[in-house]
Amino acid sequence: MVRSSRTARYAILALAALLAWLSPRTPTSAQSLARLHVESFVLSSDTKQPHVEQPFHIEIVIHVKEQISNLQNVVLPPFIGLDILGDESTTHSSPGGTTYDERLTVVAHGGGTIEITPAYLDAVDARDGAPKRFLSNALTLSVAGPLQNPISTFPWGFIVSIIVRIFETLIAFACLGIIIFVLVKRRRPLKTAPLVLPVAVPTFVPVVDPKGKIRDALAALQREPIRPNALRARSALRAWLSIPDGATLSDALRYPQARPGNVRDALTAAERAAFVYEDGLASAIHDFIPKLLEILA
Amino acid sequence: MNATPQTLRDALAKTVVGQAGVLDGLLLALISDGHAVLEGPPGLAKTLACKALAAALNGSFKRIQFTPDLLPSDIVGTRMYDQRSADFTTMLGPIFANVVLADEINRAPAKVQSALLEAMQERQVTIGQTTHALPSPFLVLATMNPLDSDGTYALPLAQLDRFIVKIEVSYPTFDDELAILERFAINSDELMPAVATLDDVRRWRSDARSVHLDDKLKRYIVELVTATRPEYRNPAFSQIHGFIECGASPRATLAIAHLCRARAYLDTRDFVLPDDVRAVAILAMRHRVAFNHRIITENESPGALLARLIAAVAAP
Repeated sequence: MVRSSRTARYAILALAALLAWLSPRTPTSAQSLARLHVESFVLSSDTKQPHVEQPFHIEIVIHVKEQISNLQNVVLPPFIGLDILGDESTTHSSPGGTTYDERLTVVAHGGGTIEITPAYLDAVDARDGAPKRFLSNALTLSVAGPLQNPISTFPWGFIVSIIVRIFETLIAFACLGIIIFVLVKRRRPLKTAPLVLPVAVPTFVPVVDPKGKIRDALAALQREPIRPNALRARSALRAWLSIPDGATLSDALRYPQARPGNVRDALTAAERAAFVYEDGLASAIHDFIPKLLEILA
Repeated sequence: MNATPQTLRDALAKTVVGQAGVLDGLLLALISDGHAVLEGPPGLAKTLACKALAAALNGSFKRIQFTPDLLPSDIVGTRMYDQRSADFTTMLGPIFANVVLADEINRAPAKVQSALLEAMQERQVTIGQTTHALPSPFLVLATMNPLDSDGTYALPLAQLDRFIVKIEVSYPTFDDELAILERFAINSDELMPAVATLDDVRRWRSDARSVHLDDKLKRYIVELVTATRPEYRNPAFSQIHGFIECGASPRATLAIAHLCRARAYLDTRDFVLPDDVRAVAILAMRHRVAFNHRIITENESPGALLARLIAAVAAP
């Protein structure tokens, strides 16, 4: 009776360990996560309407307040319907923080709409010390050109990955069976410490409103059109665009996310509102507010 | 005439091909009421740019070719005995002009350089017992050739500090050189007619002085200048400080403030932006920071080191 209950306990523990291995990946434990102050996390592409067989770029830009040499735990979304031709990442540290920039060169082989889910980063939030999963925005691309051949759109890669997973599971069960058999055969009490399962860290996925800070700053600026509020709106706009605080206007305009005309206008108006003389401030803020509204629209 | 600085820039660009940085530097020095030193290999239109500027301003222009046998009196003037009147008369030197081109300033000995630099600073010259004010506007444009160092007298840091900007002149691009070939194959001596007056220059200077410089930018300027000083021991710049013997002086702070106002004015703005400060900082500090021997042994360039230092200081 004692023997059969011990065997059952070993089997349950081994099964639990196997299930933990097979379960979807949870964020790395809090001890191994970096403590970061994530200021912005933007997923963008240099075109929203790429053409079939014409390579384009998808860029992931993360700005954190800390000065670090490398950013770990950045997980890219699956690029279903796109072939990745190249991937390069740079990490740039400045007194204003660190900007991680990963640039993928991709190509679409068929027309239609491609939905790219958000990228994510697991880190300990330096604001409250809690481990969190920070999400970027999602991206929708409309690929211009002939629709993809039904054979080529069939998700062969997905099916192959499921088969591989099933195969891995079978091997794992076989190994488990062998282990249980060996343990039962030896009929010896285990002197090792009982197996402790890793405690899953509950993850808090915040609802990220990328333009929330701009909205708040704009409300404050509309309520009270004074220089500190203009500076706050300028800072929120730059944070949304992942532009470090220490950048000048010409630096900011070189970022790919600052290419659209309305963004350039807003950045220029923000600069004027930040540095114009006192008598010209009201007019500069008056010019800045509609530019921000256009960004929020 | 009521010309604008843009009119003058456009006119200069028609004569001097592909040296936009040089022309901007000259205009900044002109509007900031300072003097400019241009350094570059021979044949890069340094002298032409200076002559074109003088011609475009309709002011008096004098060129002094600095040589080892030049005397201070050859520049400032002297008193000569007139046998007919049996009295001394004053002969004013070539420095009495609105635009003075001191060509190859490092070829004259120290006492001649000192005479010129003192006049630049004081804006007046004493000959005998009489003090003569120099004309206004008064702009000295000095050129230096960094290559032929034999028989030259390098200007010490204290004297270079008198120039508000140091402009480095580099080779033109392939297309610009083709354009030079097309233009100067026809008429090499043609200079443009005057497009602005001396009154215009005085007005530009007055307007530029009233351009708004925000307090945040004043702090930024001081941060940039103090960042060049190793004695501040900022760990963020310790690697670059290893190359610096002596940082920029407070005169550099004043020069950057004048120059960024001038740049904003050139850009038809009545307020300064951080971009203006960053753009002029290297022009104002390049000749005011002394580098040690490591810059040669480790094959670094002063301009590149300063650019790295300036980029590392966060703008407001």
